[in-house]
Amino acid sequence: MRATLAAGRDYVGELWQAWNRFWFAPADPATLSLIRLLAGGMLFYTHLIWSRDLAGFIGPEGYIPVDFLRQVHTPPPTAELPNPAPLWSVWSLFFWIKSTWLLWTVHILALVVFLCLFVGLFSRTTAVLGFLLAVSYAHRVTPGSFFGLDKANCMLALYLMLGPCGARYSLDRLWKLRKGKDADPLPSPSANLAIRLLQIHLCIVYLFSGLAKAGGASWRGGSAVWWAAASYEYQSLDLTWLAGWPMLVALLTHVTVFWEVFYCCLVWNRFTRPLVLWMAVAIHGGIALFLGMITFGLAMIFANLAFVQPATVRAWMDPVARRVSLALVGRRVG
Amino acid sequence: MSKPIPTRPEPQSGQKPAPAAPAPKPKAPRKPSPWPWAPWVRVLVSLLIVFHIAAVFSAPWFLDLRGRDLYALPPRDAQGVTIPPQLVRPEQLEFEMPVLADGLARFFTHYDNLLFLNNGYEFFSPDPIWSHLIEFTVFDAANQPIVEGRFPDRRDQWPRLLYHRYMMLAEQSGDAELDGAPLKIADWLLQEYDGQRLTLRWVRHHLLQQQAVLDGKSPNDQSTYEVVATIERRRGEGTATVGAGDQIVVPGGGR
Repeated sequence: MRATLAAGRDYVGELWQAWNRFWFAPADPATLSLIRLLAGGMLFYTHLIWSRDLAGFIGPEGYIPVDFLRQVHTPPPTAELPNPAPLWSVWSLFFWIKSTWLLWTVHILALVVFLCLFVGLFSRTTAVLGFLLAVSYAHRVTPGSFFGLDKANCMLALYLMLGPCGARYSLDRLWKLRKGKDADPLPSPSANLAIRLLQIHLCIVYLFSGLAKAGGASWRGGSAVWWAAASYEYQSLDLTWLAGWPMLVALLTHVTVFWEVFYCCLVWNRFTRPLVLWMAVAIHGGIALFLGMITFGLAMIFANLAFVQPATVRAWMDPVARRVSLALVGRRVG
Repeated sequence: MSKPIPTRPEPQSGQKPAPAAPAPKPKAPRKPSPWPWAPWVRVLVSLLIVFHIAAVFSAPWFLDLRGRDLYALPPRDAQGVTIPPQLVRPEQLEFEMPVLADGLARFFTHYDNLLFLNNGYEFFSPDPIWSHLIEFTVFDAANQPIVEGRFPDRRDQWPRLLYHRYMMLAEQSGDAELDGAPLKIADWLLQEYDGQRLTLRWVRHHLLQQQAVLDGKSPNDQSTYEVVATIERRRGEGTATVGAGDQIVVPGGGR
Protein backbone atom coordinates (compact mmCIF):
# COMPACT_ATOMS: atom_id res chain seq x y z
CA MET A 1 0.00 0.00 0.00
CA ARG A 2 2.80 2.35 0.99
CA ALA A 3 4.69 1.46 -2.21
CA THR A 4 1.60 2.18 -4.29
CA LEU A 5 1.16 5.54 -2.60
CA ALA A 6 4.82 6.38 -3.14
CA ALA A 7 4.59 5.39 -6.80
CA GLY A 8 1.50 7.56 -7.14
CA ARG A 9 3.25 10.48 -5.45
CA ASP A 10 6.28 10.07 -7.75
CA TYR A 11 4.02 9.96 -10.77
CA VAL A 12 2.22 13.16 -9.79
CA GLY A 13 5.55 14.84 -9.00
CA GLU A 14 7.03 13.92 -12.36
CA LEU A 15 3.83 14.93 -14.11
CA TRP A 16 3.95 18.35 -12.43
CA GLN A 17 7.59 18.75 -13.45
CA ALA A 18 6.78 17.80 -17.04
CA TRP A 19 3.81 20.19 -17.03
CA ASN A 20 6.07 22.96 -15.78
CA ARG A 21 8.69 22.23 -18.43
CA PHE A 22 6.03 22.27 -21.14
CA TRP A 23 4.26 25.46 -20.13
CA PHE A 24 6.61 27.55 -18.01
CA ALA A 25 10.17 26.92 -19.20
CA PRO A 26 11.57 30.26 -20.37
CA ALA A 27 11.89 30.40 -24.15
CA ASP A 28 13.65 32.74 -26.53
CA PRO A 29 10.96 35.09 -27.90
CA ALA A 30 12.27 34.70 -31.47
CA THR A 31 9.41 32.47 -32.67
CA LEU A 32 6.73 34.67 -31.12
CA SER A 33 8.40 37.75 -32.58
CA LEU A 34 8.48 36.27 -36.07
CA ILE A 35 4.80 35.35 -35.80
CA ARG A 36 4.07 38.94 -34.70
CA LEU A 37 5.85 40.30 -37.73
CA LEU A 38 3.95 38.07 -40.16
CA ALA A 39 0.56 38.06 -38.43
CA GLY A 40 0.76 41.80 -37.87
CA GLY A 41 1.31 42.26 -41.61
CA MET A 42 -1.62 39.97 -42.35
CA LEU A 43 -3.90 41.81 -39.91
CA PHE A 44 -2.97 45.12 -41.51
CA TYR A 45 -3.63 43.86 -45.04
CA THR A 46 -6.87 42.06 -44.11
CA HIS A 47 -8.34 45.19 -42.57
CA LEU A 48 -6.95 47.52 -45.22
CA ILE A 49 -9.06 45.64 -47.77
CA TRP A 50 -12.27 46.52 -45.87
CA SER A 51 -11.55 50.13 -46.93
CA ARG A 52 -12.68 49.24 -50.46
CA ASP A 53 -16.29 48.86 -49.27
CA LEU A 54 -16.21 49.87 -45.61
CA ALA A 55 -19.77 51.21 -45.41
CA GLY A 56 -21.15 48.14 -47.19
CA PHE A 57 -19.52 45.52 -44.98
CA ILE A 58 -18.82 47.27 -41.67
CA GLY A 59 -21.11 50.32 -41.63
CA PRO A 60 -24.25 50.49 -39.47
CA GLU A 61 -26.53 49.90 -42.48
CA GLY A 62 -24.60 48.03 -45.13
CA TYR A 63 -25.39 44.69 -46.71
CA ILE A 64 -26.12 43.11 -43.33
CA PRO A 65 -27.28 46.00 -41.09
CA VAL A 66 -26.20 45.99 -37.46
CA ASP A 67 -29.79 45.89 -36.15
CA PHE A 68 -30.53 42.88 -38.32
CA LEU A 69 -27.30 41.17 -37.25
CA ARG A 70 -28.10 41.72 -33.58
CA GLN A 71 -31.39 39.87 -34.10
CA VAL A 72 -29.34 36.94 -35.38
CA HIS A 73 -27.24 37.17 -32.20
CA THR A 74 -30.39 36.94 -30.07
CA PRO A 75 -31.27 33.55 -28.60
CA PRO A 76 -34.77 32.21 -29.33
CA PRO A 77 -37.48 33.21 -26.82
CA THR A 78 -38.39 30.78 -24.08
CA ALA A 79 -41.22 30.58 -21.56
CA GLU A 80 -38.96 32.13 -18.89
CA LEU A 81 -37.56 34.78 -21.23
CA PRO A 82 -40.13 35.71 -23.88
CA ASN A 83 -38.18 38.80 -25.07
CA PRO A 84 -34.50 37.89 -24.97
CA ALA A 85 -31.80 40.49 -25.62
CA PRO A 86 -28.90 39.95 -28.05
CA LEU A 87 -26.00 38.04 -26.50
CA TRP A 88 -23.86 40.56 -24.62
CA SER A 89 -20.75 38.50 -25.22
CA VAL A 90 -20.97 38.89 -29.00
CA TRP A 91 -19.47 42.35 -29.05
CA SER A 92 -18.04 44.78 -31.54
CA LEU A 93 -17.10 48.43 -31.53
CA PHE A 94 -19.04 48.73 -34.75
CA PHE A 95 -22.35 47.82 -33.07
CA TRP A 96 -22.27 51.30 -31.46
CA ILE A 97 -20.98 53.35 -34.38
CA LYS A 98 -23.76 55.15 -36.24
CA SER A 99 -22.02 57.81 -38.34
CA THR A 100 -19.78 57.50 -41.39
CA TRP A 101 -17.10 59.88 -40.12
CA LEU A 102 -16.75 57.94 -36.87
CA LEU A 103 -16.65 54.67 -38.78
CA TRP A 104 -13.75 55.93 -40.92
CA THR A 105 -11.96 57.45 -37.92
CA VAL A 106 -12.05 54.16 -36.03
CA HIS A 107 -11.06 52.27 -39.17
CA ILE A 108 -8.01 54.47 -39.79
CA LEU A 109 -6.96 54.22 -36.13
CA ALA A 110 -7.35 50.45 -36.36
CA LEU A 111 -5.09 50.38 -39.42
CA VAL A 112 -2.50 52.40 -37.50
CA VAL A 113 -2.66 49.88 -34.65
CA PHE A 114 -2.22 46.94 -37.03
CA LEU A 115 0.66 48.72 -38.76
CA CYS A 116 2.36 49.35 -35.38
CA LEU A 117 1.92 45.69 -34.49
CA PHE A 118 3.44 44.69 -37.83
CA VAL A 119 6.56 46.82 -37.40
CA GLY A 120 6.73 46.13 -33.66
CA LEU A 121 6.13 49.61 -32.29
CA PHE A 122 4.67 49.62 -28.74
CA SER A 123 4.19 45.91 -29.36
CA ARG A 124 2.66 44.87 -26.03
CA THR A 125 0.02 47.59 -26.24
CA THR A 126 -0.74 47.22 -29.93
CA ALA A 127 -1.01 43.45 -29.54
CA VAL A 128 -3.87 43.92 -27.05
CA LEU A 129 -5.53 46.65 -29.14
CA GLY A 130 -4.98 44.61 -32.30
CA PHE A 131 -6.77 41.63 -30.83
CA LEU A 132 -9.73 43.72 -29.63
CA LEU A 133 -10.02 45.37 -33.03
CA ALA A 134 -9.68 42.10 -34.95
CA VAL A 135 -12.54 40.60 -32.89
CA SER A 136 -14.60 43.76 -33.45
CA TYR A 137 -14.35 43.41 -37.22
CA ALA A 138 -14.87 39.65 -37.11
CA HIS A 139 -18.06 39.88 -35.02
CA ARG A 140 -19.39 42.64 -37.29
CA VAL A 141 -19.24 40.32 -40.32
CA THR A 142 -20.25 37.06 -38.59
CA PRO A 143 -22.44 35.79 -40.07
CA GLY A 144 -22.37 37.67 -43.34
CA SER A 145 -18.96 37.61 -44.95
CA PHE A 146 -16.51 36.02 -42.54
CA PHE A 147 -14.39 32.99 -43.34
CA GLY A 148 -11.40 31.03 -42.11
CA LEU A 149 -9.06 34.00 -42.40
CA ASP A 150 -10.91 35.84 -39.61
CA LYS A 151 -10.65 32.80 -37.34
CA ALA A 152 -6.91 32.46 -38.06
CA ASN A 153 -6.27 36.19 -37.58
CA CYS A 154 -8.08 36.32 -34.24
CA MET A 155 -6.34 33.16 -33.06
CA LEU A 156 -2.91 34.62 -33.87
CA ALA A 157 -3.74 38.01 -32.33
CA LEU A 158 -5.05 36.35 -29.16
CA TYR A 159 -1.74 34.66 -28.37
CA LEU A 160 0.46 37.56 -29.45
CA MET A 161 -1.07 39.46 -26.52
CA LEU A 162 0.27 36.99 -24.00
CA GLY A 163 4.02 37.22 -24.61
CA PRO A 164 6.83 39.63 -25.48
CA CYS A 165 6.00 39.61 -29.18
CA GLY A 166 8.11 42.70 -29.88
CA ALA A 167 11.27 41.46 -28.19
CA ARG A 168 12.92 40.79 -31.56
CA TYR A 169 12.50 41.94 -35.16
CA SER A 170 10.75 45.11 -34.07
CA LEU A 171 11.12 48.86 -33.82
CA ASP A 172 10.83 48.43 -30.06
CA ARG A 173 14.08 46.44 -30.14
CA LEU A 174 15.80 49.01 -32.35
CA TRP A 175 14.61 51.78 -30.03
CA LYS A 176 16.21 50.01 -27.06
CA LEU A 177 19.45 49.60 -29.01
CA ARG A 178 19.43 53.29 -29.81
CA LYS A 179 19.16 54.02 -26.12
CA GLY A 180 22.21 51.82 -25.51
CA LYS A 181 20.39 48.75 -24.18
CA ASP A 182 22.32 46.14 -26.13
CA ALA A 183 21.42 43.13 -23.98
CA ASP A 184 19.90 40.21 -25.84
CA PRO A 185 16.19 39.65 -24.98
CA LEU A 186 15.97 37.24 -22.08
CA PRO A 187 14.24 33.89 -22.43
CA SER A 188 10.71 34.38 -21.20
CA PRO A 189 8.12 31.99 -19.72
CA SER A 190 5.29 34.05 -21.21
CA ALA A 191 6.81 33.68 -24.70
CA ASN A 192 6.73 29.92 -24.15
CA LEU A 193 3.18 30.02 -22.79
CA ALA A 194 1.91 32.00 -25.80
CA ILE A 195 3.55 29.64 -28.27
CA ARG A 196 2.30 26.54 -26.43
CA LEU A 197 -1.27 27.81 -26.42
CA LEU A 198 -1.06 28.57 -30.12
CA GLN A 199 0.29 25.07 -30.77
CA ILE A 200 -2.56 23.42 -28.84
CA HIS A 201 -5.16 25.67 -30.49
CA LEU A 202 -3.81 24.74 -33.90
CA CYS A 203 -4.03 21.04 -33.05
CA ILE A 204 -7.70 21.51 -32.11
CA VAL A 205 -8.37 23.40 -35.36
CA TYR A 206 -6.93 20.62 -37.49
CA LEU A 207 -8.55 17.85 -35.47
CA PHE A 208 -12.06 19.23 -35.92
CA SER A 209 -11.42 20.25 -39.50
CA GLY A 210 -10.38 16.65 -40.19
CA LEU A 211 -13.30 15.16 -38.28
CA ALA A 212 -15.76 17.41 -40.14
CA LYS A 213 -14.30 16.25 -43.45
CA ALA A 214 -14.46 12.65 -42.32
CA GLY A 215 -18.22 13.12 -42.02
CA GLY A 216 -18.57 14.01 -45.71
CA ALA A 217 -19.21 11.42 -48.39
CA SER A 218 -16.84 13.00 -50.92
CA TRP A 219 -13.97 13.23 -48.41
CA ARG A 220 -14.49 9.61 -47.41
CA GLY A 221 -14.96 8.49 -51.00
CA GLY A 222 -11.95 10.37 -52.34
CA SER A 223 -13.44 12.92 -54.76
CA ALA A 224 -13.59 16.04 -52.53
CA VAL A 225 -10.46 17.65 -53.95
CA TRP A 226 -12.05 17.46 -57.39
CA TRP A 227 -15.24 19.21 -56.18
CA ALA A 228 -13.16 21.95 -54.54
CA ALA A 229 -11.02 22.33 -57.66
CA ALA A 230 -14.07 22.33 -59.96
CA SER A 231 -15.62 25.32 -58.20
CA TYR A 232 -15.25 28.13 -60.69
CA GLU A 233 -15.75 30.77 -57.99
CA TYR A 234 -12.82 29.48 -55.93
CA GLN A 235 -10.50 28.66 -58.82
CA SER A 236 -7.55 30.99 -59.27
CA LEU A 237 -5.52 28.59 -61.43
CA ASP A 238 -7.17 26.06 -63.71
CA LEU A 239 -7.26 22.66 -62.06
CA THR A 240 -9.73 20.96 -64.38
CA TRP A 241 -6.89 18.82 -65.73
CA LEU A 242 -7.35 16.85 -62.51
CA ALA A 243 -10.46 15.34 -64.13
CA GLY A 244 -8.15 12.95 -65.97
CA TRP A 245 -6.31 11.93 -62.80
CA PRO A 246 -8.86 10.32 -60.47
CA MET A 247 -6.22 8.40 -58.51
CA LEU A 248 -4.29 11.59 -57.83
CA VAL A 249 -7.52 13.31 -56.73
CA ALA A 250 -8.28 10.41 -54.37
CA LEU A 251 -4.73 10.44 -52.97
CA LEU A 252 -4.82 14.20 -52.31
CA THR A 253 -8.26 13.89 -50.70
CA HIS A 254 -7.35 11.05 -48.36
CA VAL A 255 -3.95 12.51 -47.46
CA THR A 256 -5.63 15.81 -46.53
CA VAL A 257 -8.10 14.12 -44.17
CA PHE A 258 -5.52 11.88 -42.51
CA TRP A 259 -3.04 14.72 -42.18
CA GLU A 260 -5.63 16.93 -40.46
CA VAL A 261 -6.91 14.26 -38.10
CA PHE A 262 -3.44 13.06 -37.05
CA TYR A 263 -1.71 16.45 -37.00
CA CYS A 264 -2.35 16.73 -33.25
CA CYS A 265 -0.36 13.54 -32.63
CA LEU A 266 2.39 13.64 -35.24
CA VAL A 267 3.46 17.24 -34.83
CA TRP A 268 4.89 16.63 -31.34
CA ASN A 269 7.37 13.96 -32.42
CA ARG A 270 10.65 15.43 -33.61
CA PHE A 271 10.97 12.90 -36.43
CA THR A 272 7.47 13.38 -37.86
CA ARG A 273 7.25 17.12 -37.14
CA PRO A 274 9.15 18.29 -40.27
CA LEU A 275 6.97 16.07 -42.44
CA VAL A 276 3.76 17.38 -40.84
CA LEU A 277 4.87 21.00 -41.14
CA TRP A 278 5.99 20.69 -44.76
CA MET A 279 2.61 19.08 -45.46
CA ALA A 280 1.01 22.18 -43.93
CA VAL A 281 3.04 24.38 -46.26
CA ALA A 282 2.05 22.22 -49.25
CA ILE A 283 -1.67 22.05 -48.41
CA HIS A 284 -2.11 25.69 -47.39
CA GLY A 285 0.17 26.80 -50.20
CA GLY A 286 -2.01 24.79 -52.60
CA ILE A 287 -5.15 26.44 -51.23
CA ALA A 288 -3.47 29.84 -51.62
CA LEU A 289 -2.29 29.21 -55.16
CA PHE A 290 -5.11 27.21 -56.69
CA LEU A 291 -8.22 28.17 -54.70
CA GLY A 292 -7.48 31.87 -54.44
CA MET A 293 -7.37 32.03 -50.64
CA ILE A 294 -3.87 33.45 -50.46
CA THR A 295 -4.47 35.29 -47.22
CA PHE A 296 -6.05 32.33 -45.42
CA GLY A 297 -3.37 29.95 -46.67
CA LEU A 298 -0.59 32.26 -45.49
CA ALA A 299 -2.22 32.92 -42.11
CA MET A 300 -2.37 29.19 -41.43
CA ILE A 301 1.28 28.77 -42.47
CA PHE A 302 2.19 31.59 -40.06
CA ALA A 303 0.35 29.75 -37.28
CA ASN A 304 2.30 26.58 -38.07
CA LEU A 305 5.53 28.48 -37.41
CA ALA A 306 4.67 28.05 -33.72
CA PHE A 307 6.27 24.62 -34.04
CA VAL A 308 9.59 25.99 -35.31
CA GLN A 309 12.30 26.20 -32.65
CA PRO A 310 13.54 29.70 -31.71
CA ALA A 311 17.10 28.69 -32.70
CA THR A 312 15.91 27.86 -36.21
CA VAL A 313 13.98 31.14 -36.41
CA ARG A 314 17.10 33.03 -35.37
CA ALA A 315 19.17 31.23 -37.97
CA TRP A 316 16.68 32.44 -40.61
CA MET A 317 15.94 35.89 -39.30
CA ASP A 318 18.98 37.22 -37.48
CA PRO A 319 21.11 37.87 -40.59
CA VAL A 320 18.31 40.07 -41.94
CA ALA A 321 17.71 41.68 -38.54
CA ARG A 322 21.45 42.47 -38.22
CA ARG A 323 21.46 44.26 -41.56
CA VAL A 324 18.37 46.26 -40.61
CA SER A 325 19.82 47.24 -37.22
CA LEU A 326 23.14 48.18 -38.84
CA ALA A 327 21.32 50.41 -41.30
CA LEU A 328 19.05 52.04 -38.72
CA VAL A 329 21.06 52.25 -35.50
CA GLY A 330 24.60 51.54 -36.67
CA ARG A 331 25.02 48.26 -34.83
CA ARG A 332 24.71 44.67 -36.00
CA VAL A 333 22.32 43.02 -33.56
CA GLY A 334 19.94 40.13 -34.18
CA MET B 1 46.45 31.20 9.08
CA SER B 2 44.34 28.19 9.89
CA LYS B 3 41.87 28.13 12.74
CA PRO B 4 42.66 25.70 15.60
CA ILE B 5 40.32 22.73 15.53
CA PRO B 6 38.36 22.53 18.79
CA THR B 7 38.84 19.20 20.51
CA ARG B 8 36.26 17.40 22.62
CA PRO B 9 37.33 17.35 26.36
CA GLU B 10 38.47 13.89 27.53
CA PRO B 11 36.16 12.26 30.14
CA GLN B 12 37.63 12.07 33.56
CA SER B 13 38.61 8.55 34.73
CA GLY B 14 35.81 6.65 36.47
CA GLN B 15 33.19 8.85 34.89
CA LYS B 16 30.80 7.55 32.30
CA PRO B 17 31.11 9.51 29.18
CA ALA B 18 28.11 11.73 28.69
CA PRO B 19 26.03 10.75 25.70
CA ALA B 20 26.95 12.92 22.76
CA ALA B 21 24.22 15.35 21.79
CA PRO B 22 22.86 14.50 18.37
CA ALA B 23 24.57 16.67 15.85
CA PRO B 24 22.11 18.92 14.05
CA LYS B 25 21.39 17.49 10.58
CA PRO B 26 22.98 19.76 8.04
CA LYS B 27 20.24 21.36 5.95
CA ALA B 28 20.60 20.55 2.27
CA PRO B 29 21.03 23.78 0.38
CA ARG B 30 17.76 24.63 -1.36
CA LYS B 31 18.05 24.19 -5.10
CA PRO B 32 17.02 27.29 -6.94
CA SER B 33 13.76 26.75 -8.81
CA PRO B 34 14.26 26.44 -12.56
CA TRP B 35 10.92 28.20 -13.05
CA PRO B 36 10.85 31.98 -12.91
CA TRP B 37 7.26 32.05 -11.68
CA ALA B 38 6.34 31.22 -8.08
CA PRO B 39 4.45 27.95 -7.50
CA TRP B 40 1.16 29.66 -6.74
CA VAL B 41 1.44 31.65 -10.00
CA ARG B 42 2.06 28.45 -11.93
CA VAL B 43 -0.90 26.73 -10.28
CA LEU B 44 -3.16 29.68 -11.06
CA VAL B 45 -1.97 29.93 -14.66
CA SER B 46 -2.34 26.16 -15.02
CA LEU B 47 -6.01 26.41 -14.02
CA LEU B 48 -6.51 29.19 -16.56
CA ILE B 49 -4.78 27.11 -19.25
CA VAL B 50 -7.07 24.14 -18.60
CA PHE B 51 -10.12 26.43 -18.67
CA HIS B 52 -9.02 28.07 -21.92
CA ILE B 53 -8.19 24.83 -23.72
CA ALA B 54 -11.51 23.32 -22.65
CA ALA B 55 -13.25 26.39 -24.09
CA VAL B 56 -11.28 26.23 -27.36
CA PHE B 57 -12.12 22.52 -27.65
CA SER B 58 -15.78 22.67 -26.71
CA ALA B 59 -16.93 25.08 -29.45
CA PRO B 60 -15.88 23.09 -32.53
CA TRP B 61 -16.81 19.83 -30.78
CA PHE B 62 -20.38 20.96 -30.24
CA LEU B 63 -20.67 22.57 -33.69
CA ASP B 64 -19.31 19.44 -35.33
CA LEU B 65 -21.88 17.25 -33.58
CA ARG B 66 -24.70 19.72 -34.22
CA GLY B 67 -23.94 19.65 -37.93
CA ARG B 68 -24.31 15.91 -38.21
CA ASP B 69 -27.41 13.81 -38.67
CA LEU B 70 -26.07 11.18 -36.33
CA TYR B 71 -28.48 12.08 -33.60
CA ALA B 72 -30.91 9.54 -34.92
CA LEU B 73 -29.17 6.20 -34.85
CA PRO B 74 -30.44 4.23 -37.85
CA PRO B 75 -31.54 0.76 -36.82
CA ARG B 76 -29.46 -2.08 -38.18
CA ASP B 77 -30.17 -5.75 -38.77
CA ALA B 78 -28.28 -8.63 -37.14
CA GLN B 79 -25.46 -8.29 -39.69
CA GLY B 80 -25.02 -4.62 -38.90
CA VAL B 81 -26.54 -3.51 -42.21
CA THR B 82 -28.61 -0.33 -42.02
CA ILE B 83 -32.33 -0.99 -42.49
CA PRO B 84 -33.71 1.19 -45.35
CA PRO B 85 -35.52 4.26 -43.97
CA GLN B 86 -38.84 3.36 -45.62
CA LEU B 87 -38.94 0.19 -43.53
CA VAL B 88 -38.37 2.04 -40.26
CA ARG B 89 -41.16 3.54 -38.18
CA PRO B 90 -40.24 6.90 -36.61
CA GLU B 91 -40.70 5.53 -33.09
CA GLN B 92 -37.98 2.97 -33.83
CA LEU B 93 -35.38 5.72 -34.29
CA GLU B 94 -33.23 6.38 -31.29
CA PHE B 95 -32.13 9.93 -30.72
CA GLU B 96 -28.63 10.50 -29.44
CA MET B 97 -28.07 13.81 -27.71
CA PRO B 98 -24.47 14.91 -27.15
CA VAL B 99 -25.16 15.99 -23.59
CA LEU B 100 -21.55 16.58 -22.58
CA ALA B 101 -20.61 18.58 -25.69
CA ASP B 102 -23.84 20.54 -25.39
CA GLY B 103 -23.27 21.24 -21.70
CA LEU B 104 -19.68 22.35 -22.22
CA ALA B 105 -20.62 24.57 -25.16
CA ARG B 106 -23.30 26.24 -23.04
CA PHE B 107 -20.90 26.68 -20.13
CA PHE B 108 -18.23 28.31 -22.30
CA THR B 109 -20.56 30.27 -24.62
CA HIS B 110 -19.77 33.73 -23.30
CA TYR B 111 -16.05 33.13 -22.93
CA ASP B 112 -15.90 31.73 -26.47
CA ASN B 113 -17.93 34.63 -27.82
CA LEU B 114 -15.81 37.26 -26.10
CA LEU B 115 -12.62 35.91 -27.67
CA PHE B 116 -14.16 34.92 -31.03
CA LEU B 117 -13.55 31.25 -30.30
CA ASN B 118 -17.12 30.13 -30.92
CA ASN B 119 -16.20 28.61 -34.26
CA GLY B 120 -16.28 25.32 -36.04
CA TYR B 121 -13.44 24.67 -38.42
CA GLU B 122 -15.38 23.07 -41.27
CA PHE B 123 -13.21 24.13 -44.16
CA PHE B 124 -14.74 22.63 -47.35
CA SER B 125 -16.76 20.22 -45.27
CA PRO B 126 -18.70 18.10 -44.85
CA ASP B 127 -18.49 18.23 -48.68
CA PRO B 128 -17.48 20.92 -51.17
CA ILE B 129 -20.71 21.98 -52.86
CA TRP B 130 -22.06 24.40 -55.46
CA SER B 131 -21.52 28.15 -55.14
CA HIS B 132 -24.04 30.97 -55.09
CA LEU B 133 -23.95 34.31 -56.83
CA ILE B 134 -26.04 37.42 -56.46
CA GLU B 135 -26.85 39.28 -59.69
CA PHE B 136 -28.57 42.62 -59.46
CA THR B 137 -29.85 45.44 -61.63
CA VAL B 138 -30.73 48.81 -60.15
CA PHE B 139 -33.22 51.05 -62.03
CA ASP B 140 -33.87 54.78 -61.72
CA ALA B 141 -37.26 56.53 -61.53
CA ALA B 142 -37.58 56.35 -65.32
CA ASN B 143 -37.11 52.60 -65.10
CA GLN B 144 -33.73 52.81 -66.83
CA PRO B 145 -30.98 50.53 -65.50
CA ILE B 146 -28.37 52.52 -63.54
CA VAL B 147 -26.05 49.71 -62.67
CA GLU B 148 -25.73 45.98 -63.13
CA GLY B 149 -23.51 43.95 -60.88
CA ARG B 150 -22.68 40.57 -59.48
CA PHE B 151 -21.29 39.21 -56.22
CA PRO B 152 -18.67 37.84 -56.58
CA ASP B 153 -17.19 39.16 -59.79
CA ARG B 154 -13.47 38.79 -60.36
CA ARG B 155 -13.42 41.52 -63.03
CA ASP B 156 -14.57 44.26 -60.64
CA GLN B 157 -13.68 43.00 -57.18
CA TRP B 158 -9.97 43.21 -56.64
CA PRO B 159 -7.77 42.26 -54.82
CA ARG B 160 -8.67 38.67 -54.30
CA LEU B 161 -9.52 39.09 -50.63
CA LEU B 162 -12.21 41.63 -51.51
CA TYR B 163 -13.60 39.23 -54.12
CA HIS B 164 -13.66 36.53 -51.45
CA ARG B 165 -15.64 38.76 -49.07
CA TYR B 166 -18.34 39.23 -51.73
CA MET B 167 -18.29 35.49 -52.37
CA MET B 168 -18.90 34.84 -48.68
CA LEU B 169 -21.68 37.44 -48.67
CA ALA B 170 -23.45 35.62 -51.51
CA GLU B 171 -22.99 32.28 -49.74
CA GLN B 172 -23.84 33.27 -46.18
CA SER B 173 -26.84 35.42 -46.99
CA GLY B 174 -28.47 32.18 -48.07
CA ASP B 175 -27.95 30.61 -44.64
CA ALA B 176 -31.06 29.83 -42.64
CA GLU B 177 -29.77 31.89 -39.69
CA LEU B 178 -29.66 34.97 -41.93
CA ASP B 179 -33.29 34.61 -43.00
CA GLY B 180 -34.26 37.90 -44.67
CA ALA B 181 -30.71 38.97 -45.53
CA PRO B 182 -31.42 39.15 -49.29
CA LEU B 183 -33.92 41.95 -48.70
CA LYS B 184 -31.40 43.84 -46.59
CA ILE B 185 -28.82 43.52 -49.35
CA ALA B 186 -31.40 44.77 -51.85
CA ASP B 187 -32.17 47.79 -49.64
CA TRP B 188 -28.50 48.66 -49.31
CA LEU B 189 -27.91 48.44 -53.06
CA LEU B 190 -30.92 50.70 -53.72
CA GLN B 191 -29.54 53.24 -51.26
CA GLU B 192 -25.95 52.94 -52.49
CA TYR B 193 -26.83 53.53 -56.14
CA ASP B 194 -29.75 55.87 -55.43
CA GLY B 195 -32.14 53.65 -57.36
CA GLN B 196 -35.91 53.33 -57.30
CA ARG B 197 -36.27 49.67 -58.18
CA LEU B 198 -34.03 46.67 -58.01
CA THR B 199 -34.07 43.17 -59.39
CA LEU B 200 -31.94 40.70 -57.52
CA ARG B 201 -31.35 37.17 -58.78
CA TRP B 202 -30.03 34.34 -56.72
CA VAL B 203 -27.99 32.06 -58.90
CA ARG B 204 -26.66 28.64 -58.05
CA HIS B 205 -23.53 27.55 -59.87
CA HIS B 206 -23.45 23.77 -60.08
CA LEU B 207 -20.24 21.78 -60.12
CA LEU B 208 -19.36 19.49 -62.98
CA GLN B 209 -18.58 15.80 -62.70
CA GLN B 210 -15.09 14.82 -63.85
CA GLN B 211 -16.53 13.02 -66.87
CA ALA B 212 -18.38 16.16 -68.03
CA VAL B 213 -15.08 18.07 -68.03
CA LEU B 214 -13.36 15.23 -69.89
CA ASP B 215 -16.18 15.48 -72.44
CA GLY B 216 -15.19 19.10 -73.02
CA LYS B 217 -17.69 21.02 -70.90
CA SER B 218 -16.40 24.15 -69.16
CA PRO B 219 -17.05 24.72 -65.43
CA ASN B 220 -18.27 28.15 -66.53
CA ASP B 221 -20.75 26.73 -69.05
CA GLN B 222 -24.09 28.58 -69.10
CA SER B 223 -25.96 25.36 -68.34
CA THR B 224 -24.21 25.11 -64.97
CA TYR B 225 -26.00 28.25 -63.70
CA GLU B 226 -29.50 28.04 -62.24
CA VAL B 227 -31.57 31.00 -61.05
CA VAL B 228 -33.12 29.81 -57.78
CA ALA B 229 -34.89 33.01 -56.71
CA THR B 230 -35.64 36.48 -58.02
CA ILE B 231 -36.46 39.43 -55.81
CA GLU B 232 -38.09 42.67 -56.95
CA ARG B 233 -37.69 45.53 -54.51
CA ARG B 234 -38.95 49.13 -54.71
CA ARG B 235 -37.36 51.84 -52.66
CA GLY B 236 -39.29 52.70 -49.52
CA GLU B 237 -42.09 50.25 -50.15
CA GLY B 238 -40.66 47.57 -47.96
CA THR B 239 -42.34 44.82 -49.95
CA ALA B 240 -40.84 42.12 -52.04
CA THR B 241 -42.03 39.97 -54.87
CA VAL B 242 -40.24 36.72 -55.02
CA GLY B 243 -40.05 34.90 -58.29
CA ALA B 244 -39.49 31.38 -57.10
CA GLY B 245 -42.46 30.94 -54.78
CA ASP B 246 -42.38 32.84 -51.53
CA GLN B 247 -39.17 31.27 -50.27
CA ILE B 248 -36.37 33.81 -50.09
CA VAL B 249 -33.87 31.82 -48.11
CA VAL B 250 -31.69 29.92 -50.51
CA PRO B 251 -31.12 26.42 -49.26
CA GLY B 252 -27.65 24.99 -49.32
CA GLY B 253 -25.79 28.24 -48.72
CA GLY B 254 -22.81 27.85 -46.49
CA ARG B 255 -19.10 28.00 -46.14
